[in-house]
Amino acid sequence: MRLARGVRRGGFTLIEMLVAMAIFMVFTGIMITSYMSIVKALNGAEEYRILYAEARHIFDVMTDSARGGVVYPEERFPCNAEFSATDSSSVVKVVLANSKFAPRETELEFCAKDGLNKVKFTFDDVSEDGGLVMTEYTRSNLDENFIGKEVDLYSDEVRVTSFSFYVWPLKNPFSSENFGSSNLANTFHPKVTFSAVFEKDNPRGGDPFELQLQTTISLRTYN
Amino acid sequence: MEFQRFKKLLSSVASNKSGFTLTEVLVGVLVLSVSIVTTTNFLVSMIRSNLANTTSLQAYYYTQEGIEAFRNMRDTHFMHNVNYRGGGVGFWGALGGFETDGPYTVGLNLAPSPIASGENISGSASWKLSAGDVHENVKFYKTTGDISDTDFKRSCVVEDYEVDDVAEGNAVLVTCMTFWEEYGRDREVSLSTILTDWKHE
Repeated sequence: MRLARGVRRGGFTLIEMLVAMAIFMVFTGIMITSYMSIVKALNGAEEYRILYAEARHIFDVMTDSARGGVVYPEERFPCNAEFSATDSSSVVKVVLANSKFAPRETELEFCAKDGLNKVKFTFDDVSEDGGLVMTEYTRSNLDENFIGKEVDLYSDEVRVTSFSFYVWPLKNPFSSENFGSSNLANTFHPKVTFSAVFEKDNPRGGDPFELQLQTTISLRTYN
Repeated sequence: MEFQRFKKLLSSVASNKSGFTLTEVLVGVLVLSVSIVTTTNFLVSMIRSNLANTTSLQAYYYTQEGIEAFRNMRDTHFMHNVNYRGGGVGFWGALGGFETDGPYTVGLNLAPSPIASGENISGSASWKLSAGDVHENVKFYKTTGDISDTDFKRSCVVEDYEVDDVAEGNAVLVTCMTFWEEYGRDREVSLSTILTDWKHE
């Protein structure tokens, strides 16, 4: 059967089709963009959650150690048995940068008052993993040497890109050496400032997620 | 005749009479798009609250730093047998203490100068304590030794506090607050502690 020419049939014109497709495409575009932004935000949230958890863990471990520990001036350090033999310059394991005023350190050790336990935090800025290591030392009353157990404070996912300990004062700032005639020996109260930058790679490319934390703890035990 | 009527009906359905005009469709699409975009933004900002969590973690630690500053000052004053709030006359007066009046701004002083004989002792203070509602941005001390301004501001208030068994005036309530702005909204973290003059008889 042959259709007669010029007979108008109930289809769509080209213009109608084009308009319909344009509207459909615009609408689909909006839908896809919305979906993508939700997915992106969800992924970012997951990264931040991991970053938050790990950074918080590290800081809580450190602030707890600071609250329970002592930073001793060199000559009175009760935990020095192990170190005095090997490395006399770092008896105080807050390795002094030849200044008693706000040295910036990458290694810090807190010692229990009885001298039987200590915790050492070491940050190795050369390490690409973000090598922040905690070493827990214990010894018995009779033993001079400590037994150390290393605990990595970094994971594969979160790097510690920088870590500093600022301890002030380490030596008595009010000693006669510094303070003329009046010697108020050993009457100072140290504080420790922790300053750190944590980083987590963005698995989908782009800038890594970064979190910088800083806090200060006033040591609870008097020197 | 039946067939003719059916054909007429069919053509009326096929024609545009009962459909939407282009304007109607466009308005419909517009309304739908706006609602989708709004919902998406809402969802995204909900999800982003995880980012806000990390920001309040930063603020929490800065606030803790403020609280610890007052504890450190109190303990240092103890060690020197001066009033637990500091102040008074002489060297410790020069260092300044904290009273129960209005807000204080407290900051780290990580590079206190060595005390030479005859030098002003305030150069040795490990805290920068200033009275008044001046909210300086909290400083972040980088590993490189650089000091950068953060987006946080901190303010501490010292108030008289009554504790059983502690004589009046020998306990204070220290409240530190850290403020910052996030997505155009003001946010705040606040921590409090009670400091007592336990050395006082």
